[in-house]
Amino acid sequence: MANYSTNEFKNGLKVMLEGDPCSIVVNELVKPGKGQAFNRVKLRNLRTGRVWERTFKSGESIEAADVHEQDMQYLYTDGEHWHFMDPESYEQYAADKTVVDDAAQWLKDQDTCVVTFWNGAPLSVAVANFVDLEITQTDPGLKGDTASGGSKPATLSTGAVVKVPLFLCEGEVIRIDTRTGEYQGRSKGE
Amino acid sequence: MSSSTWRASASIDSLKKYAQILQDIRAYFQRQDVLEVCVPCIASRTSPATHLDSIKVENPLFDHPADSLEGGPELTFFLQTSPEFFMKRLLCGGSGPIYRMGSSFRRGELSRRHNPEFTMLEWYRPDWHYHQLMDDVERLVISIFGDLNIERISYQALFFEYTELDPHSAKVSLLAQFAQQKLGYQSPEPTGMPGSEQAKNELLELIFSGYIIPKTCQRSLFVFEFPAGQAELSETAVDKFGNIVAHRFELYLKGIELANGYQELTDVGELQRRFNLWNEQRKQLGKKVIEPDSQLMAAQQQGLPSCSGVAMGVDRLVMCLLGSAHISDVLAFPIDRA
Repeated sequence: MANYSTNEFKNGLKVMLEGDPCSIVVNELVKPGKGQAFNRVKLRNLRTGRVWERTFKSGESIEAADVHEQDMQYLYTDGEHWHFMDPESYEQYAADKTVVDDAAQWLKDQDTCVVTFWNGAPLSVAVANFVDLEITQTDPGLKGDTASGGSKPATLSTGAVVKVPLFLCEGEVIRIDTRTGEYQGRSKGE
Repeated sequence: MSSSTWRASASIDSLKKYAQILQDIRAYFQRQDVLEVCVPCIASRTSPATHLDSIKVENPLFDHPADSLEGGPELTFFLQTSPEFFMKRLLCGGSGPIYRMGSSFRRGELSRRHNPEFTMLEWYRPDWHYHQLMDDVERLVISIFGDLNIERISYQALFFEYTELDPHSAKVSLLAQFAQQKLGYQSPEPTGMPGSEQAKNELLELIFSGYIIPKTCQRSLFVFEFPAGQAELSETAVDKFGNIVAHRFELYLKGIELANGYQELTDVGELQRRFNLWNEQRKQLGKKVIEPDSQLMAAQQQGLPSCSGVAMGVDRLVMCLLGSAHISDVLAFPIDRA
């Protein structure tokens, strides 16, 4: 892989640090009037999600990371692996739990998600901010109770459990914010 | 975004405040009887300062029979990183106190506090000690900001206050360890080797600018007596603890480096040694050697009067006054719109 010099640093640049692929999230030049320039950098470790703070002497180079993102169609899980397909080439990729992580609970067959690849293998999976999922199990709805503000747990088709208002019934399709896991409303049904 | 980039980056209101500050500065120097001078932005010489990079420009005499000019039409010219050498030639010629306000240029300097072209105010006071020049800077700043109490603290005391390390005696390995822990900095060179003076200076600069100064954003500070390795073109002396220190100061307001001043070095032999040292350091950094300015050397041979001089970033002064987070808030056309 190529190297990037500090003067090429910018947000979103993918580099290798301590063996892990990272994405630059903040890059700031520290340059005293007469002194050596440094780059103070915050990098997100794409494998662990942790943010690192590092300082580089300006002019230093670090190794580029072979990382790219791609829209993929989610196919199914066999319990151990989650299978995705490139909708262009029909090529299939399997990702394990460490890669899919929290995204697993929002993955519905046929949905499109963004898979980040590192050296050609899936590294992480990002689902859309909002997904529509069917309620497969919940206590019977209290008809007409749209105002009391109470909530109850509901299990969704993917296995995720979320809090929903009391009036919702099994079989209904609802919209969830995957970043918070919060109920947003009934699906508009596109 | 691209559709509106023809507009000024700074608001019209900021530009009015900027203009007022330019007037205040000129009024101050008029009261003080300091002469305003204009010096070239483009010159065939430039500073060999280790960490300054000049922007090269085409020979302005390219189409002329340029035999009068040493080097001929192929000669490189440079946008000046500061007016210092021209101003010192004027001082050697007996100008008396002078100031210059105008553009300076530094290649590769771009951040929320840097633009490759910026407005610099530089002035010199013959016969003044650099502590008197600090008084002068303080008076000027107060004439713009109104009342302001600026602390004076030695580099050593400030460094110790925030790190509990003595910048003069601390070993390179200890500084490297501190920079690693606090700033995530991995020294590229093996530390503790003989001749690691430059490595030590880099670590001091990193800790000072990257760790200490950002923590002083509630304070107004004159920092003086820099480590000898950062003397640049200032006189050095022995402090009361026996350390060799540079008679150099910097002004920091709200954690922003605003001004840098020296008790100016007058000894020509020492000046030549400093230039040689800078060029040695440039070589180590893979930069081109820049021959010392022969006109400056000739002038200083004639004699630079004992004097103190200081350079101040005018854009940053305006930023401080307006509380701007980015230099583009005070520049009409920063480089991305220029």
